[in-house]
Amino acid sequence: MSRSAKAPRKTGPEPTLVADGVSKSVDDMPLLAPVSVSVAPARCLVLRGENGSGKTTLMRLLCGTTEPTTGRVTLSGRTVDERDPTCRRAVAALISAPTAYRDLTLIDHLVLVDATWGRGEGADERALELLALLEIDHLDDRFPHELSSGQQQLFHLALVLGRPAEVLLLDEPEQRLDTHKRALLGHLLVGRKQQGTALVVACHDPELTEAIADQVVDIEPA
Amino acid sequence: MSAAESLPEPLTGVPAEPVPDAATDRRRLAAARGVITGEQHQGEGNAVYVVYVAVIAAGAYGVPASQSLFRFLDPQWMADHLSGARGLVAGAVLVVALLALAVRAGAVRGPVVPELPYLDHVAASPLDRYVVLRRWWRLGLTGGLVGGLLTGLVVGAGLAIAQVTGPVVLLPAVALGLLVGLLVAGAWLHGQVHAAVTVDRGRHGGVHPLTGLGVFLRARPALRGLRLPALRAQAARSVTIGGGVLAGDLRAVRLEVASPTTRARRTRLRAHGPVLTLVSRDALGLRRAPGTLVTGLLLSGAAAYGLAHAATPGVPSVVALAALLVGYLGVGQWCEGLRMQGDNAGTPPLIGLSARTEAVGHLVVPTALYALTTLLVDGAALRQGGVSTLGVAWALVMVAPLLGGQLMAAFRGLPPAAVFAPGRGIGSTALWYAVPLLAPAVVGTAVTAMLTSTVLGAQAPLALVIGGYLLVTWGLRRVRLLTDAHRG
Repeated sequence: MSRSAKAPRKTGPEPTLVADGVSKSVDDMPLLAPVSVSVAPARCLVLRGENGSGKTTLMRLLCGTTEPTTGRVTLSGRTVDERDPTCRRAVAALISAPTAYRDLTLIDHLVLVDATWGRGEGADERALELLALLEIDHLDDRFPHELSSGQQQLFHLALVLGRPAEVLLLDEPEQRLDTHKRALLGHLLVGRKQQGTALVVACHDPELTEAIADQVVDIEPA
Repeated sequence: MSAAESLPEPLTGVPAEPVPDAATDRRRLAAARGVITGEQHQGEGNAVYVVYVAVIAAGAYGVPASQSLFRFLDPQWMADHLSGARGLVAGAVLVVALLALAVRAGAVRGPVVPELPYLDHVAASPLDRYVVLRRWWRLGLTGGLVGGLLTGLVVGAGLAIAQVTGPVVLLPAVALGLLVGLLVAGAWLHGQVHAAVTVDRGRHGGVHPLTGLGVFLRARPALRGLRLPALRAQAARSVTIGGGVLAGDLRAVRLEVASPTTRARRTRLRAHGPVLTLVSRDALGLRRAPGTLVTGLLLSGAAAYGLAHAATPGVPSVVALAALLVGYLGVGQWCEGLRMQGDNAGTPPLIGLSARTEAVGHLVVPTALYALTTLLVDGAALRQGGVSTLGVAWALVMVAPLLGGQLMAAFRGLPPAAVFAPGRGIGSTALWYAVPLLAPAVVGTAVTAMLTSTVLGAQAPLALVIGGYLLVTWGLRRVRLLTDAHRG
């Protein structure tokens, strides 16, 4: 099965997250053909591929919520497993819509997430700043069910971006966003990359890909 | 063209009366139903059969069970506690609770909920909406009346056969049952109409003239006042709830049943360190859902009194059982945070705590509220001499089995495939769902029976501690299992 790297890998730091020959099958049904990818700190790997090619499955393998049928995923040499607290601390992921508390507002959610990671004083300020970066600070006292679908997506992005992480996995983060918000997202992700975070993004938007990618891998159907 | 075609959809208030041409609409509706069902002459055969089965079941199982219960409850104890003004107050509270429940049920799924294709293709037509919808209301009303009548019959017959009262109780019991059934059916429709109006106008849109418990007397305009989107929403919700129950997806069911929160949005969650912020989250959630908080207080208060009272020798064990069931429901009102954690199990983490720490953190608010309620209610009862100090302590320690049940419920996950195996029937599914409720109820009742027995009384406190510990451990094991279940 061919895997084509559309852009040459740039020389740089050692990769932190490595998937080596990973595949996934359930009851003999192949979900992902064997593939090897890696990403280093301050770099962004973009995954492309048609619907059903296994991008989301690869994302689940990379964040350790499911186990590969073949191959191995490692984070700084350690097997990735979501049950491992070290892995949870390092990897943040937006793969499907996270369940929100229906009795908390947007700002409450971000304060809660921030506080539980023990980041100390300033949770309110950090939360408001993040909402402002995503241009949804005027929605801070809304409840999740009061948001439009695009605003929901920005809120979900804020939840994931609001927690500390060495590796950030985003599955089609551009979905339901308008052109301006997609550009804003690209700007934000480039900023995270410059801060040293390793990014893996499954993306169908050529402009966003152009803005953030250091490496592009096409995933072909199993 | 039907005369009803020229009628505009009612925007506010009482819908306009259609020009009388109901006969034409009835003929058209019969033709439409003929196309849908493939039968030209539709009766209410299924409904009659259901009533027939209900009557048989009430006679064959209901009356024997009722008289056994009344014999078990001890007629003297019942006479002491449920006669005179106390009995009247207890009955009134029960009826009011039933009506409140019916109104709430109507807001989620009222009596008038045809299937979605019928709504889209028949109810959306110019036919008089009352004619189109009355079949469902009549079924709901009949269900209320038959249910009330049979309940009155079963309770009255049980009381008479157990010789708690004379046979003369049958007549008032049946009449009362019919009346309560009628009121419950009306409250059910009221809940549906009121919810539909609230969706249209908002919470502060004023009182709709078609709502109120007398709605069954004005069913015609009430049914005409139901808009198609509200009917569709309830029909879709009904399908989702049914599917969620069958698939074990209780989160979907909860989201459909729960009212969206909009209160106290300006009150913010403040960071106080990882676990304390989580505890503050649960407290804030309850502040934004005062109905849930109060319902929990009322149910837990009743449970705390029942448990303290059940610790008195001579009180039937069924009091402890009922108190534990009510207590489970009461404490469950305060466990939204725990349930949300269960819903999120297996997804990439957002909260920076281990699953076990997070679950234990979510138990802090329910534990504190239960303890506070118990101390207040049982403390007052203690001063009045209604319960003993041992009873108060007993009710307090019962928090362990109740919390174990909440952990098991929040992290029960999806039912195993074996539950749906051919031939297992609905009983196995119901049992699977009920385990988190039954486990604390059985353990709590058994240790309370031990406490009040002359032989095993001394061992009961140790048994309660061990039983509570085992249930909490079982619950925490469910936390770990569900959190790790996705990885395979």
